[in-house]
Amino acid sequence: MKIQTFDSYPRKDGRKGIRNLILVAYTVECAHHVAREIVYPFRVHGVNLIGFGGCAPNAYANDMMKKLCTHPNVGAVLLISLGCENMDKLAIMRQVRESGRPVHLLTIQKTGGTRQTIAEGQKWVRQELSMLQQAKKVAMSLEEIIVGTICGGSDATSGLTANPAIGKAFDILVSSGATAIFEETGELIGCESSMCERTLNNHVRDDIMSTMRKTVSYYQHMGYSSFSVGNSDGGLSTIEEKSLGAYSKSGTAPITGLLKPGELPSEKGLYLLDVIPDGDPRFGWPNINDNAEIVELIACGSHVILFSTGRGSVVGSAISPVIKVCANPETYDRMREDMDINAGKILKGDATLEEVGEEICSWVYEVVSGKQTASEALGHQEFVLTYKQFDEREPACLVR
Amino acid sequence: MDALFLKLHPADNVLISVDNIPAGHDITLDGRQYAVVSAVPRYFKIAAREIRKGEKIIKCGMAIGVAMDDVEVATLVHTHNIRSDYMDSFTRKNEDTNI
Repeated sequence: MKIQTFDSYPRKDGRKGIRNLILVAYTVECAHHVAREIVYPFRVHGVNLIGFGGCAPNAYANDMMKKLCTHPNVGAVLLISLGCENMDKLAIMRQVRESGRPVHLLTIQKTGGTRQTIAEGQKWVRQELSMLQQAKKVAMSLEEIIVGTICGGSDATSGLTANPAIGKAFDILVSSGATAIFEETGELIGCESSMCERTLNNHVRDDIMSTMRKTVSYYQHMGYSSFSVGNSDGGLSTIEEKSLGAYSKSGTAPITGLLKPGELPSEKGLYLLDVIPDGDPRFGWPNINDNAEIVELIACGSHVILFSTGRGSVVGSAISPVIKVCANPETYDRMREDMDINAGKILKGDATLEEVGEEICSWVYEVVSGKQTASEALGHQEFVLTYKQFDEREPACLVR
Repeated sequence: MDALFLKLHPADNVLISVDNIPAGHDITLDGRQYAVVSAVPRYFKIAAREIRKGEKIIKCGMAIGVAMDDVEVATLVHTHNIRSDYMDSFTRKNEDTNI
């Protein structure tokens, strides 16, 4: 692929954003309504809503909020707190300020209630929006892009068309110098020996084997694997069969390393994101839905997400554009407005996997250059953050 | 082979249907003609050759489970005759998933 450059927003940490969003983040469900009302008039103007519902403290949620509020696609952050919740809003605010971004905190209990907080919040957003319009832009190349991938609403076509086509796109992107992340270790059960053959050293091989052992044990505690009735109705018979379809999104590049949610890739290449909590199962299912996985890919720095769907997912995200690759030709015909790419045409004999892989790369290039995805144009900004637990890793073990 | 079935990898012992196949549909495999034993919904699997009980099911060159019974050629391969090597697949209780 020919390396070209496009406009981006430079950040103090050296990263660059492909969007320049204002995030309004509620720090407990009790502040959700006020935050949503603040966003509402600006929702098609790059002002997006995120938040954490829980009141009890959780290190993972605190850390994720910091990482998400300082994501390169984010230009400014407004925190909306009720006042008595436990999320460490001051630490989040400090981190955002140190990142060079405008940040403001409104605490509903201090501001004087719902209406007053909405009015003050909208006033701040209006002022920041005009500031962001004057933001400096710099050239960015594909080599600086991080692309994440996920599949959701899968059926038997996912593993035949969209997933392997994304794998072809990943191969092109990684060989062009971009960084790519695939995830959902729970849907890679059965692929561990193949993944190990793609690693470059024993550290990464050991990381993959131990994380896959943890994954199987976690799901055994839950009682079931990540295999739904719909998967079986769609022709998939076992978790391994579902896994190998999902795994094909990763392409064939060597696996550089393993990430946990919120960790940034330390060098270029292809990474596996381990989404399964460490320790004894404590907070339930690893990811309650696709959106929680997208949020974790974004927290690892993904500028854009490739989403493969067979049955037809409509979701987008609050921070990074989601490119929808539709695996099933019938679904594409039925839900065209929600889809960006029709990979199902492979089954009709109208395109090859390679051609759709190249089409996906062209879409990545256009979207990072500013083109809206279907879900962006439709106003989707799904966001889910839940309770989880991960062991802290020594920074040294992130550098191979 | 048959235009209605895909073999995704040379090592595979299952084929994928690309359309709804009625029972009795004729298919030629390795030069011999077989009739598909029962209806095969689109994107489901059939045995590309005889598979013995305990043998791995290979799709895309990778094991996706193990046969719980002997499986005749051109027979539907699904949750009724194969199982995961890792953990059970969730199916609704008392509901026959044998299509």
